[in-house]
Amino acid sequence: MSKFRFGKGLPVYAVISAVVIIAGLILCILLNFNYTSSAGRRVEVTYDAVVSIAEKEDELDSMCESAFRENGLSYSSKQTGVELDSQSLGETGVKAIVYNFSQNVSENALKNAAETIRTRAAGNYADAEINVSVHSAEGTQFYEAIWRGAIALAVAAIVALVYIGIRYGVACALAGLIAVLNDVLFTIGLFAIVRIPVYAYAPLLFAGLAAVLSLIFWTIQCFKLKENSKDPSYENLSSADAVDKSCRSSFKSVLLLAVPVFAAFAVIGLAAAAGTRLFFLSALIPIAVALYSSLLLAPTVLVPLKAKFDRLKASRKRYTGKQKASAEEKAAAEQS
Amino acid sequence: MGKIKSAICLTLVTLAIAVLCVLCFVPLPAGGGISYFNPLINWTEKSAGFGGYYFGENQRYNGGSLSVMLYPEGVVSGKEYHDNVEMLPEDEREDYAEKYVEYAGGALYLEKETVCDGSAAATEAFKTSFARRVEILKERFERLHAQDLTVETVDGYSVRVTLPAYMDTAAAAFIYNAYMGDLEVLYGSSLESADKIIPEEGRKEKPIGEYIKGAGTRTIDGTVYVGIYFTKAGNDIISNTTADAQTTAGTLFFTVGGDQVIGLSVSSRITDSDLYISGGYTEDAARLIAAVVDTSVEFASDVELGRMEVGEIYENRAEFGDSALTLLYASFGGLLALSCVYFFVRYRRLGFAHLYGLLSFLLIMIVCIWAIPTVAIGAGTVAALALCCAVFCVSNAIVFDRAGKEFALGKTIASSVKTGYKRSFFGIFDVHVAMGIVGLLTYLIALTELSAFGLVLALGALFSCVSTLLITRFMWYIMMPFAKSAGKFCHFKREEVTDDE
Repeated sequence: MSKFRFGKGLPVYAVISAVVIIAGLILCILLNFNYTSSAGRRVEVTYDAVVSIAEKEDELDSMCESAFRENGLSYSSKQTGVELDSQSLGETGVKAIVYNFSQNVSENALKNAAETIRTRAAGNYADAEINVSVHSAEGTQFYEAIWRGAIALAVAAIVALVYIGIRYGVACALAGLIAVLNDVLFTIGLFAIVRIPVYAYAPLLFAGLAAVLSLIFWTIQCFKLKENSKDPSYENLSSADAVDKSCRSSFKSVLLLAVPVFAAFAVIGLAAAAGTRLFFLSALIPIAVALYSSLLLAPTVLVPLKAKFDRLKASRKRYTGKQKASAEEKAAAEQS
Repeated sequence: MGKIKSAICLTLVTLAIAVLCVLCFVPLPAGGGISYFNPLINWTEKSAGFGGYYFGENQRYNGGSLSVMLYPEGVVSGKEYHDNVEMLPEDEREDYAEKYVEYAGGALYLEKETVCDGSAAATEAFKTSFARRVEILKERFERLHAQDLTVETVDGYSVRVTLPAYMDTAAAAFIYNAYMGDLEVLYGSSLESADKIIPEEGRKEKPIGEYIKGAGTRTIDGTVYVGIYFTKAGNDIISNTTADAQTTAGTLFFTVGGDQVIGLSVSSRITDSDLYISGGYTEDAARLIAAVVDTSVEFASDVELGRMEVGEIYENRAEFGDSALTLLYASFGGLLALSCVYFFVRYRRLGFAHLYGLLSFLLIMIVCIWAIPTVAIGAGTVAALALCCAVFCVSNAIVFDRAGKEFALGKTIASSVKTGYKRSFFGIFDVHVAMGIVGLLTYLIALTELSAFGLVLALGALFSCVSTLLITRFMWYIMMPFAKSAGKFCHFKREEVTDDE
């Protein structure tokens, strides 16, 4: 059985990343295939909560839900609200329940459900002022938030990697940069492909989460690599062997952080209400992506970079050594 | 440190943490049990997704969102149309119904004369004008940089805007941003009697851009100003008009489509081309006014833009439901308790050092989130906080583990702790610096949710680093004098060495 080696298999990881990123970006940018929750249909039920159906609001809600079920509809979210007077901003006594549906829901089914609600409301609450209306909405994207978010992530990642470069060397910084870039694009691409219904800004937030986690995991890897390189047993190892050996020793440390983060998001997601659950369970994707790139992709990128920088370092050392030797020779000659 | 000093320190720290815990988490009855003191966690702003009633009150809600329906002139909602019909006498109903045409399955009614030019469908001119108005609305609301903002076109010819309820200027934004039309500057004692000075009347009117370059905001010494930037032509007119303001005071009115946006009392001649107006504006209010003026200049065109009528305003409850916040707190608290259980099981009484560190970190973060008005509890901020908590716990685990390994080699506990922290310092420090850099720069450059995420991440990185490297270590230090056996206290074991070795 062949033993798995860290730092090997760059073509495989490159193909995986390329496929997801290219497919995702094509879907997301060129075909505008990304999910926006604000585009959809909604059924709005307004009623006078004070006068007409006081204390029967839950009953009205269940009546609406059964009407939707009978017409084969299931809503994506529900929101309640109270109407305010536009001048005084005081409550008018009118309340609303808004049921949000996806764009693909049949308009006729919605109209039938609305009609069912109207008929039943007229029967059950004869004097009540209940208004049922069906609406379709089309959302708008705010591009300033998107491009500024993208710039923020790029600048933040570069500055953080400059710090890593200063602390652990240029090779580590470059490998980290590739990993972070991969994570951000991979996450956005994956969200576009699987069409997880996160609201408009969220893909960037998930991309940010992936970038932060990737940086943290990679910093741990770099720290271990630097610490291990002081070990005499690392001195004669090739860059591929050194990266492989170091990754083996840091694997546990990375998992020590990744597992609690993963568990925390999973627990919060599973215990949370529907909308929050969607956010926290979706956040498991960037955690997994960051783990993949810092454990597998970045080390493979680091191997050739480290080899090159090590060679450069060695030749510089040789050059400095030669210079020193010639200077010493000169000094000796002058003395003699 | 001696036992007495340690006991005093420990008591003081415990008291401080207990007081902060009560302030942050515990509701207390006040005023004879009728009203309640709400903890900071209840006062903290909530994003549109979350919300809940204040403790002891069922009227005041913290969180959720405000939404408004905006209708162009000549368009009414189906509900309003039917209400109007019902209010009319029987014989007038038919005439009223004749004036309107049903649209979008009865969701909207279009006035034939205004919107359809007498026909049964909206005219191209109306469609162009409406599209322009939506564009302006989108731009104006986007410039508010509000979290959870949505601008939707509903049923083709109406607009629904949602802003977070914690935004103080949300209701004003609905009203001011609905002002559409030409920007004009008038001068006089009242709006009704004031003379239009920009654009100049009497000859062919020039576009507003010839007089005003734009508008913005500026903060000097804590006072927020709305800045109006005039061109030379505009400045000349303002300067000439206000030449005798010292003797006869007047008011400069800035109107959009006839609605007043700014009223500036002038008591001396205005000569500067950049006019900064302070009217007790908050930063949000100034940004709102500046956006209205600036977009009126930027989007000035020949297309006639009627005002958008403000329709129904709703105060929406939490988008994710009222239970969302409770469930979030419960799962978060459960996870933190679990982390403490892990530390108590693995390191026995040393778990107290972790507990004190964790509580300090959490309390500082809650106070910060409460005190910073731009941060609201939302999915992004909770994600950042969860990440920072995880990093804090793992950092403590790494340090404890290192110290345990050093102790196993035969070192004294003091030396083990010192070496443990020394050897893991740079690893922990670098991780926190990387987090802090990303958080800070994201906060400074990005907008809305990502910015809030960045701020919480940056603060979390700072306080997690401080809590791990200083507070937890300090707690460990002051707890050690009470231990009879240091190894048992921390559940550290010496490495067993056989005689052969």
